[in-house]
Amino acid sequence: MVILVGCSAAFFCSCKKSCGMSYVTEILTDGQFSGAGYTQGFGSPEGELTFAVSSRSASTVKLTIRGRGRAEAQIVANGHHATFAFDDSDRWQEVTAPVRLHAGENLIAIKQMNAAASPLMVDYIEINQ
Amino acid sequence: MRLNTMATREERQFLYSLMVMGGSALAIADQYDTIGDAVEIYQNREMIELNNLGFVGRPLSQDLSSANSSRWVGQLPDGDYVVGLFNREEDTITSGIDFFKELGIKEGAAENVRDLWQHQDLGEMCGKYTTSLAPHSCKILRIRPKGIIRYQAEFASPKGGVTINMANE
Repeated sequence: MVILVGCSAAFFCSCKKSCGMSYVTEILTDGQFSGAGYTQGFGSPEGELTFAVSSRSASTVKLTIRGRGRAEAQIVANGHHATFAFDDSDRWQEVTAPVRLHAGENLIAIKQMNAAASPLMVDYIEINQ
Repeated sequence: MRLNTMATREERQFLYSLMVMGGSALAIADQYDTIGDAVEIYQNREMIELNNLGFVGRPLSQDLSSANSSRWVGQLPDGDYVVGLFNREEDTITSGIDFFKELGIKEGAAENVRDLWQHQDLGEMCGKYTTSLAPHSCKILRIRPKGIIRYQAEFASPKGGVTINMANE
């Protein structure tokens, strides 16, 4: 993969995958969300977003959350809690923490801890098994 | 649903696929003596598996006048994406999905794309998938991303005031 860092306006990279296809794709910048959309409205105490995540085996994995806002967030994974802090409402940030997964299906919930002036927005989570 | 009321095999697949993509219960209302060839549609194990996994997709737009309302997407617990491309028009159309911009797959690289009606692996793909759809036909794809599994927030389950903001709305 060749990243053309000289072209700061576009953030393109040229890739040649093992499938033999060459193509040009965009690199995600900290000002844009990934995919088709994102979630918001975590301001209420009941506000929650739940991901169903399956795992082949019980293991501790690195969980990455991409979010935005000035807010503390709580992750609840299989009853275990972890707290994260996002401190920028102008750009998307990634925070990570270890999370214990069961073999089979797991539920990972994200909620906002405090009423923040800049409520939380969530783009995605990543599981590095 | 009563698939025997549909005019063609494509229309039967269309209705059944829409039910699966919407996360609906799959209730068969055909009668034993009229069900005919529709049995084959109901018995697509790969589509039934999505329903068993609790899959619920959503359209890229809820604006019915937008072509994006005919493209449905969602994600399974194992990280695979499911994409439904529907042609509700009277003419053949070109439809597709961008792996990076619309699914959020890292670098737009898919390890495998599988056609759930053809029961065929289309193999590794990069960037996007496009296809031609005959009138009232559809294509259901199961896309395995390459590398680290990313779960998009817009395909997760919100409650308590959390809302999904789709770019194409």
